Amino acid sequence: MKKVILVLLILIMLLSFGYLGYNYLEFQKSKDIKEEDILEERKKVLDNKKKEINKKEEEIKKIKEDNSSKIKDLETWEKEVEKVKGSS
Amino acid sequence: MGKRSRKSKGFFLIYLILLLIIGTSTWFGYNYNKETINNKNEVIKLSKEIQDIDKEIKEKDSDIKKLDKDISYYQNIDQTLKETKNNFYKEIKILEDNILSGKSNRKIAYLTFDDGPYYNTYKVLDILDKYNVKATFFTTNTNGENCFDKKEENCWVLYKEYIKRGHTIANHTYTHGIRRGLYKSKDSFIDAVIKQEELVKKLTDGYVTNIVRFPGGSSTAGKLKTPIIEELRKRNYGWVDWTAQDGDGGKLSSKEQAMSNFKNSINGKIEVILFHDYNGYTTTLLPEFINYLKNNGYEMYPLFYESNMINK
Repeated sequence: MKKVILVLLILIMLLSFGYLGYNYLEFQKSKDIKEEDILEERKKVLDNKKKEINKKEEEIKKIKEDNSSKIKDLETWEKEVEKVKGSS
Repeated sequence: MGKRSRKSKGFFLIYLILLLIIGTSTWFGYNYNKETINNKNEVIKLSKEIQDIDKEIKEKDSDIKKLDKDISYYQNIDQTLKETKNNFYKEIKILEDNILSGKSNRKIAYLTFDDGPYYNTYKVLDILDKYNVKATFFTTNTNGENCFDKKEENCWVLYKEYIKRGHTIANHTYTHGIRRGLYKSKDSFIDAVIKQEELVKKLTDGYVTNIVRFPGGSSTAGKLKTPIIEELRKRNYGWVDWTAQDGDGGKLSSKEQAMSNFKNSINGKIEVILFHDYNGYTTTLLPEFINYLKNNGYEMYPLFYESNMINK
């Protein structure tokens, strides 16, 4: 009987080593979170896009300021086109 | 202590050690498992964040495309303006076609002003601006650079003013010399047309005027009318007389006469109305003429080469 218990305990011990080993390996695999780097890189990309958008909006603002009378003309002519289109 | 007792103690110790080992490895295993689960959850969370950011990046890319389009639109404003003006005339042509085919009940009146520019033309332009009406000015250089009605003023500047205010410039020949050899021959007429075209181009940095009105009307050309028209056609000019007027090209004795002439002549679906921007009655009555046309359903536009009213 004592020998049976001993054998059982040794088996359980081996199983627990297996359980420990498996979880250790899984832990080691999961430790390497590439997603953190990917996220950082994506955040940089998004940041650059936002800066690009700001730059372009500034550019448009400047172009509009430099061509304000032509843009006004254009708006007038576009309204005239719509007026003619009316219900033709 | 007996042998049996020592053996029992030995087994007990071994059990204890084994249980300790099992407990410790299970505990470590459990913690590694917990950490692994935490790390995997972290990965899921980060992946979601990456997805969200990728979505936002896609939206920003779309915004950037729109902004690039706007930049190109505003950088090519001159071209866009040209295309929009062309669209304007295209739409009027469509409207004309629909009116003439009976598909539309709308009406068009083309206001045309002959023989200018004069100093008085400024008044006409201001009235047209006030009522947001665009017209066509059949120009001639009879008065030269100086204004006929105010010699110290420069009238050539009005050519750019016509364009700036959205009107069209047309050709009424350089000399308007009905009694000074304009209709002496086909060539004398064509020369006067070309000279006026060159003057307009020079004063407006290249504006092309390809609509001609015969001084006095096309019937004034008599036998020369057909060869002149043939030559105009070869040179891609269109020509037009008029369908309505207030009579200011002749002798007008009163405003009432001018108004009566005007109202009696307006009855078609598309009218080309003849005015002279020098005439005081016309300038005074212009607001009433415009209101009369509006109240009778007329839309007012400037003439253009592709119009059905232009003979080609």
